[in-house]
Amino acid sequence: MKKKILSVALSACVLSSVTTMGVGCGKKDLTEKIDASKTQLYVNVLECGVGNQFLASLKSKFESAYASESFEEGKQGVQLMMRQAQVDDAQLTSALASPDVDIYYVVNVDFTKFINLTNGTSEYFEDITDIVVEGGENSIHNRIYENYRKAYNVGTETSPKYFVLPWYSSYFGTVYDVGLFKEKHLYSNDPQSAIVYKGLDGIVQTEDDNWGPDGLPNSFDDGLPATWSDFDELLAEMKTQGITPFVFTEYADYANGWLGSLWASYEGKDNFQLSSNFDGTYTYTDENGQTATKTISFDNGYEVATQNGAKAAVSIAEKIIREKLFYEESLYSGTDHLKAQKLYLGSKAGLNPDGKPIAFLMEGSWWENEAKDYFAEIAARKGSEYAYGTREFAMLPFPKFTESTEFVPKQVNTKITLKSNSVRRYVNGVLVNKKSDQKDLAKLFLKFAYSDEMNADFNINSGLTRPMTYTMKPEQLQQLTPYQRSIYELTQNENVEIVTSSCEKPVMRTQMSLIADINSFKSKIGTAEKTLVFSAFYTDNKITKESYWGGMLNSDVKSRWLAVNWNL
Amino acid sequence: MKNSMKKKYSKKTKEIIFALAIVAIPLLWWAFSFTCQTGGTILLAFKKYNPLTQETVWCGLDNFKQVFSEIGTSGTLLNVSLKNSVILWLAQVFISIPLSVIISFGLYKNVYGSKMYKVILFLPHIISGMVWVLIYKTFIEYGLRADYIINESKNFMALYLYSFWLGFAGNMIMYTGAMSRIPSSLVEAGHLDGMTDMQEFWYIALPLVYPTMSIVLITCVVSIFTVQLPVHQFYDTANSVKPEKYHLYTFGFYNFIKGLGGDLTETPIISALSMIVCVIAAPVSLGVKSLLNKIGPTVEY
Repeated sequence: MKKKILSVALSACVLSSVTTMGVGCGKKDLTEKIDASKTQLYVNVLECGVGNQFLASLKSKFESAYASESFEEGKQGVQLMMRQAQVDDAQLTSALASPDVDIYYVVNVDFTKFINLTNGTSEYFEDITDIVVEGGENSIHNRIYENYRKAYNVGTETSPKYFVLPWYSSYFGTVYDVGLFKEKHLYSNDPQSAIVYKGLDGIVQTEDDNWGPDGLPNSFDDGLPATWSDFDELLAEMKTQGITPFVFTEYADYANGWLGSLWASYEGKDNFQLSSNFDGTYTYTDENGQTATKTISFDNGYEVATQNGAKAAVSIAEKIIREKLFYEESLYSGTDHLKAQKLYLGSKAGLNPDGKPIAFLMEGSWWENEAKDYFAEIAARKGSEYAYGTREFAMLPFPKFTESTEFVPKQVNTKITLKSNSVRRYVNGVLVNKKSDQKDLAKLFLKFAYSDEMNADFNINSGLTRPMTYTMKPEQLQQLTPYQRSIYELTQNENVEIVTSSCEKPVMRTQMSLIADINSFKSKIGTAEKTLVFSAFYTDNKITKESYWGGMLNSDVKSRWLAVNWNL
Repeated sequence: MKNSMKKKYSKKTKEIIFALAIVAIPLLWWAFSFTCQTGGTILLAFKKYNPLTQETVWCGLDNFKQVFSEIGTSGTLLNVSLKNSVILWLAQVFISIPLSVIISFGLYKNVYGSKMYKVILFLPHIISGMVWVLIYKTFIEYGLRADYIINESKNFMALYLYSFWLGFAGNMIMYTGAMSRIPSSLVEAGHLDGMTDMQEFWYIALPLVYPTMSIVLITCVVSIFTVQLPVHQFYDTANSVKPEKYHLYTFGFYNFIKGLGGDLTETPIISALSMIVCVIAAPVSLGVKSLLNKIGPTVEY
């Protein structure tokens, strides 16, 4: 009898180990029971800084909009089943082998693995071109920003072909604490401020002193530093008041992302776009302080890696490290993006060991949504004034290099330039599973999700923007946090231009690691190769901006570039 | 019916059927995955992937030539990986193993505080590795206020010391286990003849744990091709592939990181490398085994 019990128990163990293989497969929804009277549409959203609140909102609106329509015989209405599983680049192939999930929201996926770019076909993704081009002038295709359109449209401008739509656009930059700026009188146009700026003209006590980097009165950046020289004034005041300027992380290229945005801000759209097409004219300030031009093509594409914007970024990185303008834990190996957010939010509440407030965080525009839980934690400990949406933050436009220095020539770009997330290779998007049983319904969902109204709804519920033209009503804007509103308003501002890194020519996809190195700050100092600029200055006192820059000129990018046949 | 069943199969046959039923599914799964993986690796080693056409085409021995060329070119990732793998192997043979044997002998001899040391040294095997990584990082960065983890001139040693400390317990379990089997009559006889602890270690303990040591030394040879520092645990994926971390690469980590993304332009190269490693590792391991058998003492107890 004992043996029988033992054998049954062991068999059960073996069977259970087999059955667990199936966990994670199948149509499973963790939160909702299936309503047999409706057609189910399964949507998987990756867990990341975007969150899933936007999908919950979209679900209720989509279900209501199509409550009376029938998509299957004997059924009426649709039930959107939300799933949240980590489906990344490596897992997507196996996930798409089954029809279990109809739609995937993914991040960091190399779509070119799934789409044959030479003939515009895909074995994995459903062709969604029909719903993207539908609507003429107001089609999704026409509303997507040009640089994103070039990345996501695998056809041509006149004969588009879409398998994936961009999920969100995000902007790496400097988050600044508006509340702290107000409290400590850090806006130069604050009557109680001790700060005196010179403005873009570089002359004190002229009308543009407080106009900020856009050089316009009564605009979003009034009272902010217009130039790096003005920024020094701000830093001096921060030092007087015991404020730490920056906190950041080098986790997953965050700090280099910030430097890349500074680079783009220096260069402006046309110059920066050269790293996406290697075809155009580079306009820059030469060593004599004169504006000069140079033709960039695949023959000399490696020169884009050493644009003056990169030089400017390296000089600012050196300044931040050498002048200790950062919270020390920023460069600890355990400081990731979440830790940096905590240090930033906790600083004003006096939760950091040094008790000093921190003014700036180098982050992407998703950060506030990602830090929601920590907002709540601080609010519970320190009071509701620290709650999400109550504290005021905004994106600080990069100051300008209006005067040439010995190291950095003055910038030619006069606009405010925002760099959005790269769409070169590992990008975000939403796609329909080619094996889905509900392809038409899935496409209908996408069409609904990318309507003007739902784009605004997405913005409200994720805090992130869509890389498309859409308008938010005043009552919708009121639902955004001050930081989200600042991002939306920046993207809608006619004096602000948006750039991104993309691959506008298929041949670039044959050399992706080399293309990525163009904007990577790769430097060869002695025998050591560097790309993490802040760490380089932090861990080696002998490295200067000059030696780092010399290493960038000396890196292997040029030799590798010249060894490639770009005429494929 | 029951009786006929009982008669049909003997007790031993039924036990064999039961045992087979238990292992059949895992074995089948292993056979399937092993065949697919190894077969796939062999085929991939002779192919190249074109990202534009999404086609893999036969390329003869190109991948093998590339691997040998990179290994032979100073400063390339494979060249650095080879050097680091050999350094770690030498450190294992000349530092880790001798120290493990000596400390195990101390524990076997019940030196003062040996029970406490045992707990301390075995703790890393009880608690998750990631927890230890965090403790180690926190100790260095917040405790010592040192930059050993992010400074390129110091982090190889910092990561090696971490691996050494973590790997210590595994070795000690084997050596203390082997030493605990040393016949007490042998030790007592030695002590009656005035044998010192040092002599006990040299003339009794060391020869008797030699079979265990030789097994460790043989597995060490294979570890040249598989060993890796905990780079991925200490740094995130994006930072692990940065040039700043290239000096931490070993063969094992190279294969791990290149295979991690499933990048089809990279996998043919690591497939070729795996085949080369397989062809080299098998005869070298057998050679080392034969050599150790020849030079070592033959003991039975």
